[in-house]
Amino acid sequence: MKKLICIIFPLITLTFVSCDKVEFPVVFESELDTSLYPGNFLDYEYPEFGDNPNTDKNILIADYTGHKCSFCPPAAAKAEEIKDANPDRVFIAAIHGSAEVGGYGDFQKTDALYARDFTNPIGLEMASTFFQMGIGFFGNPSGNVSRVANEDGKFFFPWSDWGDISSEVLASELNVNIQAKSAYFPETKGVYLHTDTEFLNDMNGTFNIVTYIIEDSYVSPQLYRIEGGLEVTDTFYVHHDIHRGNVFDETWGRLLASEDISAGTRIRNDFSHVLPDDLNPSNMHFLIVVYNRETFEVEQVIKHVMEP
Amino acid sequence: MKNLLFCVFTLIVFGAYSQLGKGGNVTGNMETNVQYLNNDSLIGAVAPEQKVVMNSYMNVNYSVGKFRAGARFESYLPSIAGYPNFYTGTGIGYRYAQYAGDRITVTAGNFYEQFGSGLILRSYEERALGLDNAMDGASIKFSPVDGVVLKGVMGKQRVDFIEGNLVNSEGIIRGVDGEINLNSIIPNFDQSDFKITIGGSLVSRYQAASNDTLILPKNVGSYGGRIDMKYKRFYLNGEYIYKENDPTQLNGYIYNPGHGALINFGYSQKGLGILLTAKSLDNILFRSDRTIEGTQAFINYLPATSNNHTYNLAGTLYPYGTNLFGEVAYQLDVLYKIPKKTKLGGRYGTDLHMNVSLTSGYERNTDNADMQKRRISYTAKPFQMTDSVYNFDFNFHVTRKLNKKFKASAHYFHFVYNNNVNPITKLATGYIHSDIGVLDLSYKINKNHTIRTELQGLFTKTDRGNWATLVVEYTISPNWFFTIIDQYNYGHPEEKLQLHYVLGAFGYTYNNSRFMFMYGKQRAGILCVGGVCRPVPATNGLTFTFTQSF
Repeated sequence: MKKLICIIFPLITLTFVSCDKVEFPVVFESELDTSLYPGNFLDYEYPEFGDNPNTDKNILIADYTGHKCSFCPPAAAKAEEIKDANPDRVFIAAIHGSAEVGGYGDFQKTDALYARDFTNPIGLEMASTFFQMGIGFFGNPSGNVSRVANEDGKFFFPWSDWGDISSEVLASELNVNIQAKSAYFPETKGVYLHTDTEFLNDMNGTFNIVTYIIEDSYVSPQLYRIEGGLEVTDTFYVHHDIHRGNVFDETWGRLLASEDISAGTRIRNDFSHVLPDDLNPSNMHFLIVVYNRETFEVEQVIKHVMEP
Repeated sequence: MKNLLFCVFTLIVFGAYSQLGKGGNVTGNMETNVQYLNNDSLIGAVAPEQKVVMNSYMNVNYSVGKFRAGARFESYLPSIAGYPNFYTGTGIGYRYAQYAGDRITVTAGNFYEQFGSGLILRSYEERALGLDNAMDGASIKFSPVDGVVLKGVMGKQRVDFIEGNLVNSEGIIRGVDGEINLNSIIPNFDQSDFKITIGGSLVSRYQAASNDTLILPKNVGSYGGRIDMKYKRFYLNGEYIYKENDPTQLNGYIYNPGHGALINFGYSQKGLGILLTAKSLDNILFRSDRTIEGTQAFINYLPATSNNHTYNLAGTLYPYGTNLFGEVAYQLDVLYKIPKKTKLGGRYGTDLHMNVSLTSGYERNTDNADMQKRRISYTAKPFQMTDSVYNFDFNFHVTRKLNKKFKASAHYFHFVYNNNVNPITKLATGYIHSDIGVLDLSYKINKNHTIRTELQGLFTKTDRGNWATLVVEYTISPNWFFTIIDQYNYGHPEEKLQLHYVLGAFGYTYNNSRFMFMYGKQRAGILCVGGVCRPVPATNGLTFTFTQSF
């Protein structure tokens, strides 16, 4: 009998393990990274969007800065001032990047005191690209307001000009509306971001959508200049609206629509992203930007804070 | 080429062994079917451009001591009318080498095998259907003690024979089976009137998978058990097989489990035999390739639960084949011999045989279905039947020898065939009701001469209408026979198609050789063997058949 068991047992074991039980066989085709969903992705309910009642054009102030740039804090303060004057319509992205090829200059360098590296590849690529385009980006601080260009085609300006440009842009016609909803999964640090873009007027061109990941605030040293031209370090400087990268790691986002676009065109997009380990979900938001890929001018930007 | 070399090498080795004086034995047989076919637009017969077609087989087995090796040579130049078109060319379709010891048998190469009733694994050849799912790999049978038999098999399955090359399945089959006769292994139980044998099987298939939309199981398993009990004149046996998720082309890539259950209960005594069969099948068809349909690559066998009728009209117009998706069926078979030298039984006794079977659809409950996430299209329990009848077959037979020279039998058949479920004709929808009567008379003229006639009539209000068949067969023992068959479709709704299908045949037998010639028209029909069916096209022409055994 022992002999029998010795023969049968391995055979039965061998055959039993040769069986794959597939509980959820459907490979769901989705723009989203289904692996970020903790559970069966088919349980995930895609949000619906209703009509968007917004009629205001928002603006994006891109402040190209650096923590060793002593001239930069006043620019950040100006941006904050404009934002405070127009709550819910002005949004800031503090992009740590320099006006040189590669986007990485002395102002962005780190050392023992300035330990945190505020740069990221996307911010550096934008800085490098805009510097090489020759559209007015000569050094920090410098920035743009929704990349609205002047008559010379330049859209980078010193911070002292940002207020006037902001006023003009805020008063301009709204062409594109955006809505967003999201879901965050702490288990995977994954985010599903859903957007609904509506073209309100007939338009022509190539339009992309891109989503910036913005850290609300972070306390870290900043060089600044006091009266008399002396540079000092503020060890407990509060950096605001720090650009940490883009969703999908795409610098220029992805195509939304091109050529002739009829008024009323609505486009749905679904994005997924994994938040960096050092980014606190309660200390961040997304800026969702629709812009003209040929002129870079921002048509609309909205701020989206993740839903709990 | 590899097959050929293997066989030639094996035969040379054993041949040389034989020449050295160790002895050996060569056995085998040959079968050749040649057809010369004509076009006949009236009956729908189409001649191939070659005009002459042939199927030929030759088995050669060599045995010496406990060793055995052999091969089967096959030719399809091209294959005969209606035969599966994936049989082409000439080559070796089967080859093996085997050692058969007292307690162990090992086989390498091709082999046929069956576990239990075949519900989990049956590798076999049914040449008439063009079905051959021979395994190609290795098998071991081992009986460690009396009353215990263990089997293990692993290999691929024959699925095609293209241009003389054996083509095996993509999937690899692995299986183990054990059977224990408890009367043999339990002390003092061998003398008991109660006999019991138990067994169990496990079979799994590996097939690589690549699918963008589904995660396919690469390894699919099935397993089950069986029991066979006998007490005096009663016997009861049953087998239950469960199959794990097996999405296939045929089942629409659902992930339902499958099951097969077969129960036989019988009683037999001199002059009386009763057999009740119950069967429940659901999504249990198992193939060695999930993408194949048709009659190829069957790992298991789904038995028919109706008689395989041999009379022409009963056997080929509305025969029932097992529904591959599932069915529930019951069958009752009663055989009774009215004793001889009684008023009813006559001088030689009278044989009565009644058979009734009912096959219905399988109850599929969709309340708990989950196609979106799990691709479970329904849930089901064994033996839950619907009111949708797939097939009903009642047949009654009386056979009586009237005197030393004259024997007669009468047969009645009533079929209800669901043409919507298993479409067999385009001329009818829904249920086809048919009644068939057959009178079979045989008269022995003298010691060597016998004449036999069949009078058959089929009556139905649908499809091609009524049929009548006359068969006259004259036999001159032991060498000659002559036959004329006329099938007359006198009830066809189109008058121009009320045709006679006349076929004449004669044969000659010389020692172990048999020659047969057949000329005439054969109508289109369905050929079923053991619940597996294939359509047979209409033909008009000459058929020559030669068989030889050695």
